[in-house]
Amino acid sequence: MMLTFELKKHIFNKKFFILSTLLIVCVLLLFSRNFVFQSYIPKEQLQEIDNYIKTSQKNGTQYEEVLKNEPNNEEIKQLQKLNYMMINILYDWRNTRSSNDWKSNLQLENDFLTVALQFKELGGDFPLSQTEMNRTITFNEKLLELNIKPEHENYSIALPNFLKNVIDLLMNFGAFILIILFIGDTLSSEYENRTANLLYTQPLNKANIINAKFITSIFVYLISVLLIIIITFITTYLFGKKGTFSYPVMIERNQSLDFISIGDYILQGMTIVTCLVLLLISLLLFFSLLVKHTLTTIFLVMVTFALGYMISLINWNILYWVNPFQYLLASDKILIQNEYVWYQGIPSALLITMIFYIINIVKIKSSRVV
Amino acid sequence: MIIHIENLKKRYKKEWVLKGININVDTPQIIALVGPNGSGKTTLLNCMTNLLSINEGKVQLVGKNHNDPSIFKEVSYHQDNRILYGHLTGYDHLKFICNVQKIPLKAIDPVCERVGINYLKKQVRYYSLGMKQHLLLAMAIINQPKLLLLDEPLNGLDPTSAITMRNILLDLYAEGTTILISSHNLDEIDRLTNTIFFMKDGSILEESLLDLNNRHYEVLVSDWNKAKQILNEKGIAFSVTNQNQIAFSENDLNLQTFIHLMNDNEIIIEDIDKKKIGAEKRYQELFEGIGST
Repeated sequence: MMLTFELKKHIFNKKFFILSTLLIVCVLLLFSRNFVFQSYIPKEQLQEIDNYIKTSQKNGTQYEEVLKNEPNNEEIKQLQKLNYMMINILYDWRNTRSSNDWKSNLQLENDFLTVALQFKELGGDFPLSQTEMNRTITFNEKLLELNIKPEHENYSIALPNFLKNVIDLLMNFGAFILIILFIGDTLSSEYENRTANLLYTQPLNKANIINAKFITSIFVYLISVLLIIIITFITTYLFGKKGTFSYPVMIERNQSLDFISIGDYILQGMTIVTCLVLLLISLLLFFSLLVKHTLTTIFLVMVTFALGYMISLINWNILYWVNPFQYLLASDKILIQNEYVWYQGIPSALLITMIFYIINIVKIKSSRVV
Repeated sequence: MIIHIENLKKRYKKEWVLKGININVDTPQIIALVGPNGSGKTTLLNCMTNLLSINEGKVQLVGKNHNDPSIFKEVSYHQDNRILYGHLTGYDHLKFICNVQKIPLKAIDPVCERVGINYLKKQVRYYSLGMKQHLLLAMAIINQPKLLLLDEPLNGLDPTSAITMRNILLDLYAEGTTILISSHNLDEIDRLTNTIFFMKDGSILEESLLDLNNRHYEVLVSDWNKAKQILNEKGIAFSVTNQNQIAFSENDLNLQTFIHLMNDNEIIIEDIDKKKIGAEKRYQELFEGIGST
């Protein structure tokens, strides 16, 4: 009964309507950006190849000059040889770009990068780092192995890749801001507006107020996430591409490169975000009960999270187990798993949520409206 | 015992805002809480309903400790309209009360009819002050409480609505509900009850059972100094108003006797004002010093 009333209070609120509309507009704007950028992607890639060609040609001219003076310099001869190979592959790659043969494109890119790596190892000057080149080669090999057409990392209109972009936003502060905006005042405003007086003068177990607020907050979070997913599905279905949830996402695991599917990435990301949201809700309720003022509550929650996150920057393994605030920038926790695994902070997040939930229940029982 | 308050004390920081309140009510009645702003009326009601903590004392309502939420099955508190949710409808509010009080929803229609609400589907933010007061009253009486606490329920009500509210309260009292009402509308208080607790500075200054049939006179005489002297000599209780009128109660001095006394002493009576001793009169005496010798 309390829950229905609480849900009604949130969902029939003008704020909920405005924020939901804003959320939809944001997703649509993000998709529009990606959509508009589609025609620029080939041009951008062509520009990239042209830049490589220019660099290689410049290198070639320099080597020719050196070889005029030192015709027996074997090192330069070797570099010049590799440089010519790179230029040849780059022209082939440039010509293949116009075709839709993505496999040849990837193969040529890998051929080029393999030669470029050798070139770099011999002391040649090239704008890409060895790590970058290795990562690209490994990623391209994976795409070829899985037979999946590559998508632009940031400007894709394929459903899984675009959904990943959106979830990335949620994982990096997005969900935190979303919850603060949607339900940051869920309890504190009851005290500020005096509506708590109505709740406190009913034959209610006050614990029900916390239960209802907690469940409603989760519900509001789920509605907003669902809204994002539905809008993403609709827009990509109408104007985008189907894509595949098997699309690989490259991660670092124990100092080597590994892959998870984009579906797993989204699932892991949402799991982390949901745990962080649960913790955030319990802290919001806790500080609301403590100070009974919305802005102070939000300030205290932000300070707690900022401090918690700062502590998580200390490279101490036990902190990965006990500090759930590390998930404030959650995507890093999935992409780089060298000293830890992505789910390591989840038990502590749930435990702290539970502890604060119980504290809130105990505290509200003895609380008054002022 | 319907209300049992024993030495209730409440402090805000270092200031005592309730200084040892004692109230005992064991039979249904209408009681008014009257006092100037800041005298502690709302604080007292909030402490009684456990909205505010108390520093000392004991409060029991309908035989239960006031911090037991189950008292609100039998106790209703009509507070100011800020407790309403602007974006919800009147029906949402009443439905919520019905749900938590475990009252069937069919109780909503009769109570709305009784209070005169026909705008339940509108959002509360579009209600006038009077409409909100009606909704608050409906919310307070839907559970047919044994004890009804009302904090300034007449604020914002037009005369017709005020009459409706008065009649509803009198009906509830007739049905056995004890009503404790805090109000500044002393005329309405007079029409509702003669049991008045006058509050000042966090204390109950006087528990008055006003005799509304008792008459009170304020007489303008040609020489009020001489009149004062004569009445003092005779040992008659009286007071002088700030307009130099001689004021006395019918209990203390018969009007005819007064007229004879004045005539015998050649004092001319210029005007006689006959008044009831109501809440307003007593309030003036207690708080404004009017009528004191």
